[in-house]
Amino acid sequence: MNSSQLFGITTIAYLLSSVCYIGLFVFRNKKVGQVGLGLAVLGILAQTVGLGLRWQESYTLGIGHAPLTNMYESLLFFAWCAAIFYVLLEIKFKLPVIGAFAMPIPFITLAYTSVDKGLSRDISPLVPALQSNWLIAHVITCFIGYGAFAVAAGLGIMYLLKQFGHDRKFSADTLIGSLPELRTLDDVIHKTIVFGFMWLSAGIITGAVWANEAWGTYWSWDPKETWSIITWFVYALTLHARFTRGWNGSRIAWLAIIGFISVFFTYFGVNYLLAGLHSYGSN
Amino acid sequence: MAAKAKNPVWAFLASVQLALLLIGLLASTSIIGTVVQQNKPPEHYAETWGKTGAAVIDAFNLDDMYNSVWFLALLGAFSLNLTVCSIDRLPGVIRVVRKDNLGTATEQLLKMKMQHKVQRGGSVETAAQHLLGYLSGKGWKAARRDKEDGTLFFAQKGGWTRYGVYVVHISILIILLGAVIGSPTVAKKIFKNPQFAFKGGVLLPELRSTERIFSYDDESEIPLGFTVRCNFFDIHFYDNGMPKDFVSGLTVLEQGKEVLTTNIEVNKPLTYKGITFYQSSYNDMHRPIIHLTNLTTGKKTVFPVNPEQWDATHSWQEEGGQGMLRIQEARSVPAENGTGTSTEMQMWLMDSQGPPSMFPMSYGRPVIVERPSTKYELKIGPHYATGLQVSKDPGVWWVYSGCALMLLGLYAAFFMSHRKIWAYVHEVNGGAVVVFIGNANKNSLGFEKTLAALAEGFSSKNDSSN
Repeated sequence: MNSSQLFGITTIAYLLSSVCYIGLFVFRNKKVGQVGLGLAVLGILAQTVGLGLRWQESYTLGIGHAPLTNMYESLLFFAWCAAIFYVLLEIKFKLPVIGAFAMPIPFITLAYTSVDKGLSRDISPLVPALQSNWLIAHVITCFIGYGAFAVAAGLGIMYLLKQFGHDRKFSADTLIGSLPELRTLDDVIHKTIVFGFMWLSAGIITGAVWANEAWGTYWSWDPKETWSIITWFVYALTLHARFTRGWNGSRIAWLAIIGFISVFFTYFGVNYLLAGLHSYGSN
Repeated sequence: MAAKAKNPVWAFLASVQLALLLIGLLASTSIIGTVVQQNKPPEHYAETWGKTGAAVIDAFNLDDMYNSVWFLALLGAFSLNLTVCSIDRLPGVIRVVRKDNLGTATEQLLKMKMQHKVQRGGSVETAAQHLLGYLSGKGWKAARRDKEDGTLFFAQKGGWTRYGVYVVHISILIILLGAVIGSPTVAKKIFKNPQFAFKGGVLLPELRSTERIFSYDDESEIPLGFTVRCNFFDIHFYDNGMPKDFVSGLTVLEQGKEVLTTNIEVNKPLTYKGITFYQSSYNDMHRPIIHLTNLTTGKKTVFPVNPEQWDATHSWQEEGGQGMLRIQEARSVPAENGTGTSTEMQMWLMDSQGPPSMFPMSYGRPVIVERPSTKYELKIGPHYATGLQVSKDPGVWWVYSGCALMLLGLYAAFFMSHRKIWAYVHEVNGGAVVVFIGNANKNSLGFEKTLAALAEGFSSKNDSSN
């Protein structure tokens, strides 16, 4: 079995897991939710082996490097981080219905990698600028943050849906009424953002140290750098608004969504729409 | 303490509203510089954004917006806000951390949410003695105060974590300070010493040396204070044609004496006396150069070829004596890739042992020459100039320290909490009763469990010891 077959299995596992979680949300059948968790874990295991194999394959080709060096590989890694983050979140907060909003994220990401034909899946050798030990530290820290922010945005959507139901006095038997309490969701959104913010900060810092080694400057206002700091500002604003102005509920839910749009632009938009130094991911 | 009436300017500068406004402005205006390409020639803006657009870009310095006066002023205002806000709030936080928690009235404590009662029996003093030992065994160093109606113990952990958020604020100021210290503009205009911090470059042909580099800002010369020589430049490619590495061999000389020889690559710069040399580009001088490597000793020698006298003899020193080589014949042939021409040569090489070697060689293709005492790798290729970026940034360690401090501060502020435990020992119906009371500024749920376990532990210890 090779890595792409394993990623195929992973995609199916994440799809079925999403279906189960949505089933849990719609039919409120707890068993289905447990199957969803099982499938998510299975998918993560298959993907972990797949990533390991791809790493090994790169060594067989004589250009050994961690599978974190182009858009295809980064999407794989993003899906992996988001899935793991969600499973840990479920273990910690025991709110499986979140899975209906979180597990589609890794599924859609992986489905995209198999649909977009413009995405190169080759294991290519590293250009000189990427040959650094900072590569792994930088990519891992950023993507743990991105994974958390993606889940926070899913939670934000849940919150807004729940509130929509709440405002219209939907009973607890209805679909929307069965979502977790607003206060619980608010708390989980906040904790997820705090977690992501810590890792985003570490990601920006490792990136700066690396840039100083490779380009001779730790900060050059390159579009990727600038968008990462814009994202950092958006979440910093969110945290300050909450701590000092008492913002919570739908405002934080919206900020979680806006923050993720900024993450998405940092990750994707910059590569495709703007020109800059940091263009490794655009092919 | 009565609240002092605050100066309205101070209150405004310390306000969170201002912080939110500034962060919002920094985030939104930063977008402009990612859409409008930075530091392009004026024609670019006229072409891309039209005449009016270019005029707006020019008026607001949007072509170099992150160094524009208005953007720097925003950053300055942000720093001022951070400073004033921290000065304004710190005394309050210090008061909370240093608070005399044993002074809290018992009635008030007993109203707190998180508490567990343990029936102890026996005298209050014995219970108090046991409790002190028990708490310190669990890592809580408790202070004691006798009150009218009983004895109060207090212990706390993580009081310092309340400073976490201010550590983050200060870390941002340290990073910005580091950026100012390392700024070439500040070095030139304020310190009047361009050598203090600079960013520049130099194009250094193989075998040439330099004592100065050129500033990126205004192309002014900046003396290094020592000499750097480029011994060679080399590019290697992967099989698929992608560049694998760019290597420059550099030697640092002080007063003509070689003090350091090393190879630099992208991601592997050389730092000497605070000045860092980065491999950043290269240039083909359109003249040939001979690279000779003694594969036994690893010694590399290069000989530039003068097109006017290409058949001149080049010589070098070997351990056993002198070596010599020359190009005997050279002719143009069509290049293998079908475009342009290449050169084929007949070479002659001799060192201290054995008869001379004569062999053919193509331009750009290395050959191995076997000699009785050693092997050489010989190659004729383009004479390169290595493009070095050279910078001196005395602020970088401030920036790095600020970054480390920021991560510590974020961790303390978000993931650690200030936990307090009181234990109140008093007499009820002739027997001692201990009430454990807890408070945490974050993660109360988790701390509630810790407190319950602590009370439970004391209660079961109580059973066994009696």
